[in-house]
Amino acid sequence: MCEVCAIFGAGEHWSDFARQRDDRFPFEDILHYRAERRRRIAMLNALVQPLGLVCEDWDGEALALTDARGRTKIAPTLGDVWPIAESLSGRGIDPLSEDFIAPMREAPAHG
Amino acid sequence: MDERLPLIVVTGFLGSGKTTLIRRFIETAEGGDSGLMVNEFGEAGVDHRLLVHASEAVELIDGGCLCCARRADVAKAMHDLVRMAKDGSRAGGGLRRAILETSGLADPAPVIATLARDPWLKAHVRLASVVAVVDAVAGLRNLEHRPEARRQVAIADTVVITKGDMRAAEPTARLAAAVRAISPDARILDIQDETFRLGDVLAGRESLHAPPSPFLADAPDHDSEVSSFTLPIEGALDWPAFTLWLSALLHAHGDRILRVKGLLRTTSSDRPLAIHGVQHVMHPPTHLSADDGGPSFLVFIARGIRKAEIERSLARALDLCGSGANVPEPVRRGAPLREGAAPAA
Repeated sequence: MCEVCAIFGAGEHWSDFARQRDDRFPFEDILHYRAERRRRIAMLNALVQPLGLVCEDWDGEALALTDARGRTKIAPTLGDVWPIAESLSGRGIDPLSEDFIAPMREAPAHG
Repeated sequence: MDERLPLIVVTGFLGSGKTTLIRRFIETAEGGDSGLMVNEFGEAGVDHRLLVHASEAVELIDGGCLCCARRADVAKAMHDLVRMAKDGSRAGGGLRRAILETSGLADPAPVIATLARDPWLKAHVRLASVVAVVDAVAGLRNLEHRPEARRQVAIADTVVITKGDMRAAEPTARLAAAVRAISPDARILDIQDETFRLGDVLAGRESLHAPPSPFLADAPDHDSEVSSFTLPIEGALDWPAFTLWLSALLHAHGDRILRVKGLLRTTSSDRPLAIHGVQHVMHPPTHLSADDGGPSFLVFIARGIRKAEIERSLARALDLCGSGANVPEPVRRGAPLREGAAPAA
């Protein structure tokens, strides 16, 4: 746990359940949890790279998105990544579109 | 242990018997410690008087339909109810659950979206169940002719059939078939059944967390508004790639994906995971025992999104993430899958 930020280093978002059991914090599986998290961030970078964005881990719990101008925004959960990526890039994210990244459009209202 | 206040959303068309159902529950010993929120279209006050047994804890949402401009009021009512539940010294202290009765014309989706968008509420309130009340006299007609009624059933995990004892009642089997055509996996209960227990519906136990089962067949796409389908998943699903895809899908189309759930064997755990989501709200996945369930599958109840779109989208996302070994090959080539395909139960 980060004593400054009071962050446990393990997310509670549904997508953070890369663990072996239903425990709130995956202390016993922490290495497995972190390895799966690293893999996910690598995949996420491949997806947001066309938007000119880079994603980094933030204390094992949140995600930091940075654009080419150096602007950084923190996404507390994976669900928050997409609206932030849209706001930083001005492009839309739509998994139903052919390339996942939709042409320039107005970002949807839901996050 | 999840200490958040369980929220049970009760929806159903006008006159279906929502208030009667709730009133009967709060008159029982088990239901007495329920906080109630009521939104009755154009009849503010009526239900407030009916719900006298918990009047201290009733938050009456005046001013019209939940799906319009009053969602802020829903959030405020839920805030107030949680504070009351936590403050044992006040009336309403010690509440064990919150029950929200929506207006008969309301689409319950905005209520759930309100919960999903409010960080404080997310931390303090847990959506335990969405219950749709369908009456045996007018329910069939409503389901055929009223899109609001179909949406209410589509989003519910539990459907309660009322008024089956009335002379003009339709046979329960016909109603159940009509409900299943919209929501093939809904738990359907008949209030006339001698085994029916109000607590099973309204006590806030984990009905959303029961192990899911695949639909035996996809619901026929007779209703372009709402369709339901099962996606078989072969092998172990790459969990990081899957979460990227599903979270992005819910971000972009959560308003049209009424429910998603599944039983998944993943790269992240030796045990199968059960997942459940209602629109933008995903519940924490549950690990099942290694022997639970059969093949992996995902089920969707969606509005205006077809099975082939979801299949292609998932296959593309898994390919993009370098883990495209999980969905049937024809999908990745872009050919539509055979409609109606479903894994063995």
